[in-house]
Amino acid sequence: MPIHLRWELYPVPHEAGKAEYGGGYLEEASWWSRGRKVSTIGELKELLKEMLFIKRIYNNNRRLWALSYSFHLGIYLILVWFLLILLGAVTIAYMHVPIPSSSPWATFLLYATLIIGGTGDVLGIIGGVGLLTRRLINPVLRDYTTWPDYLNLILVLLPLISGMVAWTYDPYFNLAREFMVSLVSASTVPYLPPAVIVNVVFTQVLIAYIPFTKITHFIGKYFTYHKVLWDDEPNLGQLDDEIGDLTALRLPWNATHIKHGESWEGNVMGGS
Amino acid sequence: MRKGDIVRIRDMGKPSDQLIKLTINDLMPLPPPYDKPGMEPPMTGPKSDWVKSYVTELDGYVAIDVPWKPRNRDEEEQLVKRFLEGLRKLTSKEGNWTFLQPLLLSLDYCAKCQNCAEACPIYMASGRKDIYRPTYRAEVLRRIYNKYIAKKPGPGIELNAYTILRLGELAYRCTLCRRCVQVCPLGIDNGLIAHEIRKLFSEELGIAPTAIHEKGTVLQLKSGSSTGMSPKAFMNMVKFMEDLIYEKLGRRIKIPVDEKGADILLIHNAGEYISWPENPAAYAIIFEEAGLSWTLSSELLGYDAVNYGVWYDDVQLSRIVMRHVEVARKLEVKRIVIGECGHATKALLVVADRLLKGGDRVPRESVLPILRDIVKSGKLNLDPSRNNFPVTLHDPCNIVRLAGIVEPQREVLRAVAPLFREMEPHGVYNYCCGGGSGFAIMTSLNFPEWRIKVASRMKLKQILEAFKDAIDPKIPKYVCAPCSNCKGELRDLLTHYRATELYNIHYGGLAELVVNAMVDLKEPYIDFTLQ
Repeated sequence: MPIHLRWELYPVPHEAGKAEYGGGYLEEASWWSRGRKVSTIGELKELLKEMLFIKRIYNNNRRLWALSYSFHLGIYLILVWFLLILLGAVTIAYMHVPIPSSSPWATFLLYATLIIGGTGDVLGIIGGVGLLTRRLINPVLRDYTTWPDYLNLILVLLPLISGMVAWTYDPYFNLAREFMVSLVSASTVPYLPPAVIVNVVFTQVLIAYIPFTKITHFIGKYFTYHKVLWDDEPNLGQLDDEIGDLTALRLPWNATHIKHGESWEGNVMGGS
Repeated sequence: MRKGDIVRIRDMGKPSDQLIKLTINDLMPLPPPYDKPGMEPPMTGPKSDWVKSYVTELDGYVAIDVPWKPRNRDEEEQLVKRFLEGLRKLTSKEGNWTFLQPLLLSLDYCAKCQNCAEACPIYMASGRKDIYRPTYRAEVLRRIYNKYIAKKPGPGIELNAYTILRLGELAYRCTLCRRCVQVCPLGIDNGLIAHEIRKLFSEELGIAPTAIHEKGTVLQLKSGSSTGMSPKAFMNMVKFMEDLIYEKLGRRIKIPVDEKGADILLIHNAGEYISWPENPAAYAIIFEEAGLSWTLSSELLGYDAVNYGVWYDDVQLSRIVMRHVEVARKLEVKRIVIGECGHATKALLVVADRLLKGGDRVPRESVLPILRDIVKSGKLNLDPSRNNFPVTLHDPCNIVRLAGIVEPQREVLRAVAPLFREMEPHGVYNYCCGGGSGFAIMTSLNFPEWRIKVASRMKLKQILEAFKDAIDPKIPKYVCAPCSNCKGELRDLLTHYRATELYNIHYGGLAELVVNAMVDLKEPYIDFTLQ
């Protein structure tokens, strides 16, 4: 993507000492001669508040937040559950500590996996079903929601719901760990009941599908904030070459006040 | 959650009369003393013959006052074709490198959660009309883009002349205040989408409201100012201001014009000279008292900071930016300082920053931090008790939310206005005056009625609430708006509701309050404090 014109939106959280009330470096006379103070911590704090708590929805729409937060927190916990399963498998395969066993580490992994996995799945389902229902019953939301939007929600819900079913066959996630052991140590794959296979398949479908959808909004969000709304870096010469290349592009526009086919620079210098 | 009929996305293409009809009863109620029936004039419909030339099919109001309606099937098809051609360019690097990344991000990632609607003063003031949701026009454009340009699966939208005509009008039902973006968990910019639709119409179809294009940027590039003011007329204004200063201050000041090599080139919105000359005159007094090296310019464009291009057309924006910079380079000044004008501040300080390279990168700043520094330096002999009336501050979106200049104007007010009180919300979370993005100067047909009653309604509510303890007509009250367009809108708003006449509510800039507090003034600077 080419650079774009500045279009920041305050508060910009890395404006040191000013972000709290929404100010920026343009508040100082002769700002270009004063050096710019950027607070990475300020930006990180804002980023985490948004990532971990979805602050903007919390502040503006508590009902929506309850559903959205439950859904996202559920997904985060499932990701943590996945790491715990991986950790469990490594413990079994490479540390030769069985789970469950009397080892405190094994006991910790057993229960942490159980609590985090269970909570994550329940929260994810409650939030996801809630969001889906909200979109179906509110006439405005229904009008805006397109079938790819529904499909996104459903494809996230399928592994969560099938995971809940699979859980009944594997209440302590021992089978999940065994399956993971087979993946990390190339040992024999254990027998998986059909419910577990269905869950694995739905999860794989989701993972394959994610890159093509708006589910990647966590990546989009990085760009909207860091590359647009918080991008207040002044051009002190570092962008001159790039601006030169872009203003050399020829304008395709057809309105009479624009010289079609002439470069940006030619159009601008020549006046209207 | 809402019930009942809604205006759907697909209704944009309905070959019908108005999508909505607004009445006073629909609108957000106003606080006392405007809470009684009959306190405001009713809403009127469009004249019956307008429909032939103008788009009354949206809400009955007309922002685009150039006749652009197709007259037959052929012209309708042409319109659709040319619109799609424009959309292709709008989403290409050659046509729109200036905003390509922000635009595509906003088209791709909106979750349509509607969290932004309640943040929009127009949606709220209209009594929550669906067509004014920040997401409505965005979703229409998104569906056209997905279907015809990106070729993505999803619901289509009927793309006919009605869709395009209504979309063109709807791009002018948003003041580009971007308050909606602040509450979006994904950082989607529905304000930007309105801006980009305006650009498509202007840059490809040559369609934009007369006030911002023909009598705006085109006139400014040709005659030096969107007011039509010539350099000669400007010099007469300078003389007038010198006389005004003599009258108020009791001594003559020579206002520097075209002083080569000065430190500061101060450029005001030329509308100030015509409507509020006391503001640039106040700066002349303050800068001279503070002993600054400064000058005004009488070059074409050098005496008018406005850049309406920032609202609708990147090419016109760039042309005006370059002319401002040329004036500064020719005068060999060290920096350009923009007076109390919001959009000009954002255009030249922020948006233009990545248009300028090499020697064109003349340092540029707002006058507000300089004013704050002068007031705090003690160089002016100030007696704040001279401003012994309630003052509230309107935050111009372009200076505050969009440029991050929040505290300087407050520090000035705390120093010179003892009865200063904030309106709520304020600072970067302010509400637009309703005149943003060109609305304040768009006075054709019935558009002023819409912008005052709908777009400015939230601002009126805020002003009345800020002064609720002092609403007594015997107490003069001052809404300080350090922005020419905001002042223009406040003038129309206060006139429409007879708020000055009935409740003694006045408006004006920031520098006037500073000068009004100067001890060695012969007579009060602000007129209503004369008695």
